[in-house]
Amino acid sequence: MKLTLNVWRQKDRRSPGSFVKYAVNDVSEHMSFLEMLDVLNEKLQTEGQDPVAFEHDCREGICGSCGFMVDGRPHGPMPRTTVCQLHMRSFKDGDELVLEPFRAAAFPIIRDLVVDRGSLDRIVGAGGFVSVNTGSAPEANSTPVPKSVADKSFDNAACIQCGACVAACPNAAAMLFTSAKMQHLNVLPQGEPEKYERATNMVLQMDKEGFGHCTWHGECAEACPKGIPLSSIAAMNMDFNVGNLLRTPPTSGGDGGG
Amino acid sequence: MSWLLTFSRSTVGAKAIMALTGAAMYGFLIVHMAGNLLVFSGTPELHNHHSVFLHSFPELIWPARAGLLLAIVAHIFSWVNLRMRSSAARPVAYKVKQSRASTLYSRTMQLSGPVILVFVVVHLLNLTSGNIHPGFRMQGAAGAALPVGVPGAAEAFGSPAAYENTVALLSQPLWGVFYIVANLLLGLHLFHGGYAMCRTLGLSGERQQGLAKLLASGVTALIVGGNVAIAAAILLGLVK
Repeated sequence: MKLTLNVWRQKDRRSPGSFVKYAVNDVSEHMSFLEMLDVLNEKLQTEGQDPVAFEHDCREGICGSCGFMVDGRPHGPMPRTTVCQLHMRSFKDGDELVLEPFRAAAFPIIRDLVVDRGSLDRIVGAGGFVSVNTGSAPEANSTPVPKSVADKSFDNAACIQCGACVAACPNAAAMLFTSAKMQHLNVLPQGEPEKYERATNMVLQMDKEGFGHCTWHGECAEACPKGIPLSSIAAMNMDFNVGNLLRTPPTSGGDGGG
Repeated sequence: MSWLLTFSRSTVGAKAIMALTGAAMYGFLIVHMAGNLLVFSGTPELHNHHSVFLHSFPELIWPARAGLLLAIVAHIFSWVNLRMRSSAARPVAYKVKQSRASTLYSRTMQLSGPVILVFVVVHLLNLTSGNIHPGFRMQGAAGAALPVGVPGAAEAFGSPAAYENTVALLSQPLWGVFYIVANLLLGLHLFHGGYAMCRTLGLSGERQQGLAKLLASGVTALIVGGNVAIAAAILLGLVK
């Protein structure tokens, strides 16, 4: 099949960007979307042009490296699919597609379709961990966890940090991401002791990075390739509200975890 | 109190303030609608006595009014704060953006909100102060209607002739239709707002999400249904 791509080209963070139109011929329906871009890039390179920069690593939908907007949807039209696992059979001959980077102030563009998602790392750094004393590994069965709780934790732990939720949100909010990275710990007995402190620290870091607020459109959960539920945001709100209004607020700069 | 400042400045805390103030206004709307259902009682005196009754407790009515005003101001203030931040959060707009989940209710919140504000101001000028009204009347000590404009009438007689004023206003087609349309827009805002309120305050879980939707749609239908029924009945001449 033949496709026409309108691709956002931008040399670096400071340069202005613009859309450039490319024709891609000989696209097989069995190719992944990224393989189709590989074909385009090979052609561009043989013509002496700069290839289109896009981020990728595992190409198995599990690393979270890839991701850009395909016709106004993060990762393209397939639900619960990263763009590396999106196949060209989802499109038809003659389609014209718009490829844009994830747009958010907290995701500065590095080049073309590649954005800097370090802001997400810093949110995790603010509280997405459990403070434990090092030593020999604890006895595996000493802390029983009910299956339903383990499932809830795992649903949130499935987040691959791709940033599609931010890209889909009309407010460029990182609520779904932050709540997933928070709730997979907060519901477990190991993460429970620090849950209010974790909620406060992660939310405040999220705000500091310049993400927006939640208006409950639900676009993030629909765009999430891992199906993180919207209810995670509600659970985060509960922990943040209770932690700040009903309990002694945590002192900043915690002195010794736990 | 620095923790309260930190809380109210955070994206989650500011939303919690919007939810709590929204809940206060929700509560007012339920009571307001229920009181106005007295126009259907068949005895105008009952509706008017209800008004006299409320006005006979200035020590309660003024704090309640001040509280509502505070809720409105805090609601708008938080929204402006959040709106400015979310605009800054995406400085470059998408060329193409598709929606998969947002609803008519959720997308029109920023439109329905200001419309409701304008409606509330007009409504107060219509039926509380009487500045915009075809023939606003205060009620006498015995409940008889007295013409407005008599100096000190409000102080002497305390409360407007709620029944006569409402019927006189809403029986005019333009006003009747205006009130019905305003209430339908209010419904859009209340439905999404009610649902968002539950979620913002922390009702999580699949079952609670269903509950939040049920609660929001039920209470919205009650408020809007009651208000529209009043306006429609007067407009159609069923209540005179």
